[in-house]
Amino acid sequence: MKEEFDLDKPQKPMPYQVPPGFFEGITHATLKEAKRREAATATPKSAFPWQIWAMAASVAVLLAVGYFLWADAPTTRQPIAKAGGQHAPVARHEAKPVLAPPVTPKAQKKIESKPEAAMAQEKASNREPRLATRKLEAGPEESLDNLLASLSDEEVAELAAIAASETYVYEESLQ
Amino acid sequence: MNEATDEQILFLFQNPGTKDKGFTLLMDRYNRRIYWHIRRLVVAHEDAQDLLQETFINVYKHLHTFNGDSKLYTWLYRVATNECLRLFKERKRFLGSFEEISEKLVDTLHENSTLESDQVLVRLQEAILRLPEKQRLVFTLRYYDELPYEEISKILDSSVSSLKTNYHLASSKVKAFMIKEA
Repeated sequence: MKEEFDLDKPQKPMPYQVPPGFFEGITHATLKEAKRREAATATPKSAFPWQIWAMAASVAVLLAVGYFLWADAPTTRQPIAKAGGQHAPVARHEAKPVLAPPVTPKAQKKIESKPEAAMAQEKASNREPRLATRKLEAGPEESLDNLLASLSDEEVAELAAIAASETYVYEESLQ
Repeated sequence: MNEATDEQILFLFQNPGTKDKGFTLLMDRYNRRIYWHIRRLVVAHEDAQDLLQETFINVYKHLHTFNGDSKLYTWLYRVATNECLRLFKERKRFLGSFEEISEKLVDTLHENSTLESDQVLVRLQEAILRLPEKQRLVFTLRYYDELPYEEISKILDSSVSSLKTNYHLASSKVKAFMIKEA
């Protein structure tokens, strides 16, 4: 015949004492502790608290900013270094044609007294943009000598006349 | 409060709305049996209280995995026994050997016994505490809890024939001790 476990069978005596009311209170205390632990494991603390994530994000932002600054640096500095070495204009396309300044009363008197100069002034006013444009189109490597060599005799004479009448216009033309 | 059957308790426990009620019924039904099983192994009430709580907290956490292969009380005894063995393992690291642990338990037994305590019962407990671990487990489960060998084999993961041999050896040693100390 198979043995059966009888839960309600009186147990053999033991030489130990149990505090009064122990079995009545242990159930409630155990249930409370079990629920507390269940709640604690349901929302486990992250291995990386928010401070760690914030620090990691800051480092990532700094690295990204540093990368873009470093990546941009050669593209802006290199042309300046090259241009500086060759004494080239910074931006040719930004230069505007230099026009002859309006005739001042003093220059008007000179023109009236010297008709040739007035004619040269008038021509210079008409031709100045072309000269200036040619100068600007010359490129950074073209020197003053090359510029003068490229001018015709007539243009050189005009320039001389301008230089005699208006130093400012002459200097502007050569710059 | 022991009217509820194991099936009713499990049904209540598996329903989230009645889980706490099912757990309360389970503890009310089994806490005395499990407490005394633990107390016989660890002797001190404080240790037994802690291990009883740990046992039922584990039950609360894992009862949903109980598949009914064994009886519910067998499963409870198994959880409680494992908790006791875990405590012995921890103490073995400090005390060095199982014999040291046995001596410590015997000391605790004499500290806990009073003048009113039956000295025959105290000597019987001392005899059991001086048994090797496996024999002590088998003897207490068989002699005090009167569990069938088939259930003890599920609790201790051991064959029935091995359990019977261990129980026989343990009984012989206990009798010899009692005669010697009489």
